[in-house]
Order: sequence, then C-alpha cells, then structure tokens
Amino acid sequence: MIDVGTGYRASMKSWIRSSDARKQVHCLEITAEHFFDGSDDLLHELRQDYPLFVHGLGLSLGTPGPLDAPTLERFAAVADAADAKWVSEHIAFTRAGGVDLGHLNPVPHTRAMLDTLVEHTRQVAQRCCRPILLENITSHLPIGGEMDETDFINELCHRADCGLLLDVTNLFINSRNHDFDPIVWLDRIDTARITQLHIVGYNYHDGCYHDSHAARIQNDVMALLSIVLERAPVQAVILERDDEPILIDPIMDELKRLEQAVECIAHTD
Amino acid sequence: MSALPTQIDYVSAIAQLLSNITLRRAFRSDPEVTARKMQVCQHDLPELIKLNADALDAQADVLIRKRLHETAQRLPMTRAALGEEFDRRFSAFAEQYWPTSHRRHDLDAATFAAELIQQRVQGVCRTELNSVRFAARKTSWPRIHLGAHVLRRGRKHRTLQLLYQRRGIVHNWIIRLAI
Repeated sequence: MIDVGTGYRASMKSWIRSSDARKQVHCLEITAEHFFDGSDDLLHELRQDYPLFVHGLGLSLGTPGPLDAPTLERFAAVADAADAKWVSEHIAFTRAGGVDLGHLNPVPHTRAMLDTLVEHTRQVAQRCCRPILLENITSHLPIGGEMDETDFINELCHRADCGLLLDVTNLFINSRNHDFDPIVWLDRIDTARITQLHIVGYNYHDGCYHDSHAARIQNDVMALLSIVLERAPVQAVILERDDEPILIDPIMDELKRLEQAVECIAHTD
Repeated sequence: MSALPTQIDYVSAIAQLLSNITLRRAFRSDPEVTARKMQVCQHDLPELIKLNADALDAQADVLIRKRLHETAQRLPMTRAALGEEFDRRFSAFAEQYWPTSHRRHDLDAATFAAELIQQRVQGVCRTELNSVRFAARKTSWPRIHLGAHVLRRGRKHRTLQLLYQRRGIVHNWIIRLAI
C-alpha cells in the first residue's frame, strides 16, 4: 500500500490534528531544521496520528570533509523525537569554500564525490539508526564529471545501501531545462531503490522551468508520476506545497488527485 | 620554509563563484586565469573551467530568488510598501550577506530590514522587523514592543506587540491601541 501525505508546515498545525485532515493525509514529512529549536512534544503528538519521515535541508552531504557534527546531532534528535520511519537528504551541497549558500546545489559526478557522498550517507544512517533516502535536486548549472547522472545515483545508492527519494517534479524540470527524456532517465535508474516520491507543480517563466513549490500539479507531471508508480516499489508520495499562508483546500484537492493516481496503479497490478 | 597556499576543491570553487558576482564576471572573462587566482587544485581545474558562465549566473540568481521569497514571506507588509524596490535592494544586499545556521531565513529578513531602517528607507513595517529579529534570536523570553506603528486604512496607530515562543513556534500578537 502506498501512503499519500504532505510536507508539514507550522501554519497547518491546527488543521493537521482535525478528522478532515486524517481522512486525506496518511503520512507527514517533517523538515528537520524547522524542529532544531526544540519542539519535541509537537513531534510526539504528530507521530500519534501519522507515520513521520524526517527530511533534511542542511547536512550538505556533498561538502568535502567531515559532516558538521552539531547539525548531525540535531538532525538525529529530530529523527528520534519523530520516531521517523526513515530520514532523507539530498544529492547536493549547501555550503563549501567558507560560504553557506542556504539552498541546494549540484555536485560533480566524479568518483571522488561518490566517495564523499557514500561516506556521509552511511554516517547519517548510522547515527540516526534508520534507513536513509537520497533525493535528486533541480539545477540550472549542468556540471560534468566522469559518470552520467543515473550511473552516479545507482552506484551511490548501491554503495551507501540507501533508498532513492525521487522528486518527480525535479526530474521533470531538469528534463525540460536540460533537454533530455525523463523516461530514458527512468529506464536507466535502478527503480528498485525508489522508496518515496516528492511531487508539486512547477512554474514557468523567463523561458525556464522552476521549482517554486506553490503551483497545482500539472498533467504532464502527473503523467510522469504514474509511470514511476508503475515501475517502482514506492511506499509513500509526499506533496511539497510551500504556500505561505498554507492553503488547505488546494492541498486537499491535490491529495485526492494523488490518491486516485495511486489507486489506479493498484487496480492495474 | 613558508607554507604552500591552500588549494581549493571543485565544490568549494563552485560555492565561491555562486556567492560572488565579481568573481563570476572575472570567470566569464577568463575562466582559467580566474580559477588559478582562486587557487583551484590542479586536479579539478580542467572541469571547473568548462563551467558555463550563463549557467553559473542562472544558478546564482535562483539562490538569491529563493532567499528573496523566504524574506518576502517574513516581511509581507514591507514588501507591499516598497514594491519592486524591495526586490532590487534585497538582491544587492544578498550578494554581500550569507547567513549561516538553520535560522538563516530569519537572519536574512532581520538583517535586511535593519539595513533598510539604517538607510532610512520609508515603508519598513516595524512590527515585522521586531518579529523577524525575535525569530532570529529565538530567545525563550517574551518581548513587548510599544509604540510600533501600523498603517491601517491610511492611518497610523500605536500598537502593543507581544512576541513569545511556545513549543518552538514564534507567536506574534499585535494589539492596536485606541489612543
């Protein structure tokens, strides 16, 4: 059975405890950094009602050198408080060279970077005592390397013994911005590793696709989602809306669409 | 014997390029000379100089835009008052200031709002400034601000603003005083 849920945001705190929310939301993804300042009792409450996944933004797995120890400890503490089913982070870096860029950036697909990511991924999984998933990101900066992206991700997941959090929207955006076929990408990726999905609508402006996390899922992204659901042993699909303030009706509508997509695949099996 | 200059790796070089528009302009003009001045290690130099300058700028723009989005969410009335000037000023500010820590978005908003005040830019909402400063510090002690003005239906009012933190969430109460 595939659980459909949403990313948790502070402004949905009242709604998420309601019976209406519980009918439609079957899991929650927590952004770890939002709980670094100590809201353990809120996590304890949420986990009574929902299975929780803990998603990191700032571990910067792609930064050469040691992981930031205090950040890792806080991340692990949130995972414990949430009793997270799994944790996740990104195939990316956020800080290096003496600067914290604050958002995700692509890493080169080199053997040296593979070693860095494998080591960091294992370290996080070990410290959290939980399975870890790695997520693909969008990027406007194509970075070369010794390997192509799918070989890189396959070897990373194999060596780190981790799952893949496939962001369907990010795959779609990159395929349009960098002119490749996402189906061919899926043909090459080890789909057996895909455990969780992220999805949301994209924005298009200035001749480019963007991940603004605030748009309704377009039909072409939904179609790509359906293909992934047919091919991979997905356990959870998370809607990643970041509107502020959060808009409940659009979220409910999107969750219904995702349930229908999931049920459609279940009936086909 | 003098120490060898520290060489930087590929990822560190990308980070420096993405955070420094002057460096990106130099890289656009001559990638190899710039990379050597950055002291990129020999092993990573050939791949680094292949990076597309337009793509570097595009990625750097995305980073600034994402920060702008987060800051605008925390200063909505200030942004509404300043309009496009808010975006323009933030982009210039963000090139020079790169906050660290998981509170980076609160720090961005607080530091930017404080800079606007310092530059005597009209239209900064004081209650928003108080709120983002409190969030950036995340102290457990509540704060009360008296006298911050809120423009409502074209009129200014005195306000009492109460800021406190409960279960990791910042609460912001603004009471308009009938004076």
